[in-house]
Amino acid sequence: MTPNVDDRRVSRWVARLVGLGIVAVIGVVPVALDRDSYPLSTYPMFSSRRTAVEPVHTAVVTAADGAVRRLSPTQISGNDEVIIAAQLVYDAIRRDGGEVLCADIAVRLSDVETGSEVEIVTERYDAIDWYEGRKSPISRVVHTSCRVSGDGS
Amino acid sequence: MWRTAPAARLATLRILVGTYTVAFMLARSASFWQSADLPAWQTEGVGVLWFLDMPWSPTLVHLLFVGTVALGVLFTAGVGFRVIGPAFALVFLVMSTYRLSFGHVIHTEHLVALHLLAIGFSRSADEWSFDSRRRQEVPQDHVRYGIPIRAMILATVITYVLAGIAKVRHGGMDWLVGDVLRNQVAYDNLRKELLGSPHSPLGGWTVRFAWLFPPAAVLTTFVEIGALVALTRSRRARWIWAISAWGFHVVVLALMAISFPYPLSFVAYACLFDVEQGAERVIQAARRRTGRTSDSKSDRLSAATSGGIPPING
Repeated sequence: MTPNVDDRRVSRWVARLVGLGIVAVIGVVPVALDRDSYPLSTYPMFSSRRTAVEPVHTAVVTAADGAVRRLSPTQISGNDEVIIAAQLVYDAIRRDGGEVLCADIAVRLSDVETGSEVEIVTERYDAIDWYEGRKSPISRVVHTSCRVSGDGS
Repeated sequence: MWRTAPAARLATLRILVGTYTVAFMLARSASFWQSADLPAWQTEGVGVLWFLDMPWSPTLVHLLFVGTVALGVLFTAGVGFRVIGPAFALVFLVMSTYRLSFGHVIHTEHLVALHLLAIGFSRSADEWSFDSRRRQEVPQDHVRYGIPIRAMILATVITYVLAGIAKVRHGGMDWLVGDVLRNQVAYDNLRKELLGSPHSPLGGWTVRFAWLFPPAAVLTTFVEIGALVALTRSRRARWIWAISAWGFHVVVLALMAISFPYPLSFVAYACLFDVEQGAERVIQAARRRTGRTSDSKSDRLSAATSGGIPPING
């Protein structure tokens, strides 16, 4: 059965409204609010005016002999997403200087890193220099440190 | 938006996007599972969970994850789709939102969540589904199948255009002709190294060549804003854009070790094409290999999708 002309006209208008609604909700609202969210977003990834020298907030383990070992995102945050781990360290530093996070990591590492120290740090490198072989930090701030006791405390 | 499409096209998209989503959830199961253990003080609800200020119990998160995967299998098979379709789209939205409600939004699931909503809330199980297995007639081409597909295309285009606009808006001309992209690649790889995560040695090596990056930045923005060509009816323009966008994601993976699995799988672009014809060819080839003769319904569907015999009730 062929839809009559009125039905077709109505359905065309419905389709146009659906299209406009999608453009408004997905395209206009996030930009107007300038908010990155989910599933609506302004998709700001990689759009900031990044310079070569930026801080990196992370957690490391310093062994008794002074050797520094990098921790994985899972060891830092309990989750394997690197961005979540980086954000977690940044938020922890702002919140309490990283003390609670430091203790959490020490507990996570208690089976393997007994006697070592966890450090919550902000390091600054020139990222371009790093890849040209000059790997010395421009600055390194230790916000807090805590000992991995081995008894889970 | 007002265009008819065959039911089989929307059904093929249901199968492709559903299969992708289930595979993605299984591949990233550790991350979904571990989201139950993130610290309570880190909780920061986003999107539909904007009100969230403390984590759910781990048991609830784990049950939700298992339930989402199970619903995804039923969604893909087209079982009880009037209920399962919207349910899976919504539950996936909640589950994926929860994973991102701990301080940072990752942009790998936005488009698949939007596509699932378009598929889940439409009649995408009218063909090639458990629900339609006993039905003999092939549904006519209809706007009810065309509108969700146009909605998927529109969502795809908008996400890319917004990403292109954000680069010009936030980074300005420095993003296009300066060192911003080079710094992004260097910083992102360095941060991964310092956070003990896999990074791209190729990206680290490439940042030594500053001259490479301004043309790459212009090309990136051109591809993202060029997504608008996917709104045209030109099949060639759509193919050129989809392959360009896919290539862009391959380069991002190679230089920054950042994977956007939905576009990399090409499923994100499937809505731009007559995917049911490809699916039909695969089915016919499988039949020939097994020596099975086709049933009458498939014959009629094949004829209808290839523009041959008019569909029943047509």
